[in-house]
Amino acid sequence: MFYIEQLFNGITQGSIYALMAIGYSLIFGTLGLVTFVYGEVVVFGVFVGYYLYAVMGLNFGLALALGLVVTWGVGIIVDKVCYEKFRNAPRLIMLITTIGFAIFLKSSTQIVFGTQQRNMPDILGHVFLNIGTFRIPFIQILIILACIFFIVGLQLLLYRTRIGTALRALSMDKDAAFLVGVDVDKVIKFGHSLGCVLGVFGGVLLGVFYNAINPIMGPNIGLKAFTATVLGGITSIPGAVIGGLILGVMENLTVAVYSAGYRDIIAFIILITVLVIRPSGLFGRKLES
Amino acid sequence: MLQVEDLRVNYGQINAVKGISFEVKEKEIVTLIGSNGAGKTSTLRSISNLIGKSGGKVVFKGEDITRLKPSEIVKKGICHVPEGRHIFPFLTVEENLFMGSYANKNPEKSNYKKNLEEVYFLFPVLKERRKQMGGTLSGGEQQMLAIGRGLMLEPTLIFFDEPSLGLAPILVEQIFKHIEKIRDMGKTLLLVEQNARKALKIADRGYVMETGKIVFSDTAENITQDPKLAKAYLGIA
Ligand SMILES: Nc1ncnc2c1ncn2[C@@H]1O[C@H](COP(=O)(O)OP(=O)(O)O)[C@@H](O)[C@H]1O
Ligand SMILES: [Mg+2]
Repeated sequence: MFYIEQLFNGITQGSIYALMAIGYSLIFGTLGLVTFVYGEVVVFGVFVGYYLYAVMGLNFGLALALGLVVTWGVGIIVDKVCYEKFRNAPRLIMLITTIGFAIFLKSSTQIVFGTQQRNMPDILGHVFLNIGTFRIPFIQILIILACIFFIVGLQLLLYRTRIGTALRALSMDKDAAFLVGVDVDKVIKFGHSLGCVLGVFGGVLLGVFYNAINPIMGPNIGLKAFTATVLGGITSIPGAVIGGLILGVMENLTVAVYSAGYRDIIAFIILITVLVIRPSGLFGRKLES
Repeated sequence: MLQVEDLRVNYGQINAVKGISFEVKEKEIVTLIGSNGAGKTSTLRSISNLIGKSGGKVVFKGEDITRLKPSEIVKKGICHVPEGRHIFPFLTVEENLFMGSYANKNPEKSNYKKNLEEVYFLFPVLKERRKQMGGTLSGGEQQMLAIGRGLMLEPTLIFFDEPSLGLAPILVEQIFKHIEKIRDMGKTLLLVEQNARKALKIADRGYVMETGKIVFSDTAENITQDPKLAKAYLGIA
């Protein structure tokens, strides 16, 4: 009984990780590079939304929408500062610029929004769905449905729209994208900001799930998204989803079997194991040529 | 149609293109020949602005396009089929062709369909394989896809960078036949080749490039018949 509840917690949390991981994967695909500023962008966006909602008193939807608009802008700034001038430079430079920007953004979040942890407003906290003897918090079902909605939405965007096809094309061959007339710089900014926005959706849901958000949770979020993405095969969106679910379930089962203190170590164990045993991840594609 | 004046390309200390000037007139096939490392690819890539120019001027249909973004140059109707094909490996053949139409000025669906049918008519094998990933095609098929993708733009001027590179002789033959067909469709072509003999056979005029400079230019016929050039570039004793 307890374990089944934990399993369901794991699936809920896993679907949030999945959402963050597809955002990360999208950014990786767009830029061809890992980023170290993802978690911080997510936290900043979440805090902007939180501030508008809890402090300024805007309604939830409007606060979220404005938070996402700000996130979109931050995404563009990150691309301008960290990537744009260095697209043809050695890749190490872009890794370092994102690390630098992450430090800046984390500090800025703390300066603007304070250093303490905030409680997320408790939405639907006491509504349960009873299936036989199971009591499932209704909010968890909503979280899972929201994640599915965004994941399917991203798939449709990538596979059914013009800009989505351009994004996929760009991730495969930037020169060729230039040559068919894609405005590469614009599409990169679009993909990068879209990835950030997906991350913020995930961050908000994580805050709802835990009832709390913390201005220094950026590196942790970045690690979880990165691990889930690497596990799934870094450029594979379905892979990222499965990677996120596995990570969420393993975390919660570990917490159930041992103790809550072990929660964050699982991500490291998975990350190291994957990198050693199968660096291309579960669904990574290899190009033979 | 296209005038290039005093074009220069540097990679750091290396001067790959040292101030070349040439011209392509409407409905011509002009070929730029020269051995490996002569600077042919650098010339095309700098005209398309995939790499920066260190100097010079490019005019297309009377308009200065020297500093336009690559995407804007493509929108003018200049299509660049690059060396090494550069198809999108994880897009299907049909998606590759769709991407070719990305900058087409007539984006209506009917127009897209018409162009697609034309490409499939020219390269029936692409139609057979339209649901396959580009990366799974053979070298020759990939070259056809790269050319077909270029045609989806409805370009007026096409750059071909070594379309025969790495292909079996029989396929080389086919590709050159297709290039002639494309010329007959009323396109203007700038053809870069190491395979000088083949290129000169279908070209109207040629420029011979050597270590970043144009050392000779004439009609294709005269170049072929010049004994000195024939020996140096065509391997004819
Ligand atoms: N990315 C690059 N960086 C440095 N040097 C380059 C680069 N690309 C080409 N070169 C050099 O520029 C010269 C011309 O190359 P290229 O334009 O590819 O010639 P071609 O297409 O005629 O074979 C060569 O000496 C080559 O080594
Ligand atoms: Mg070349």
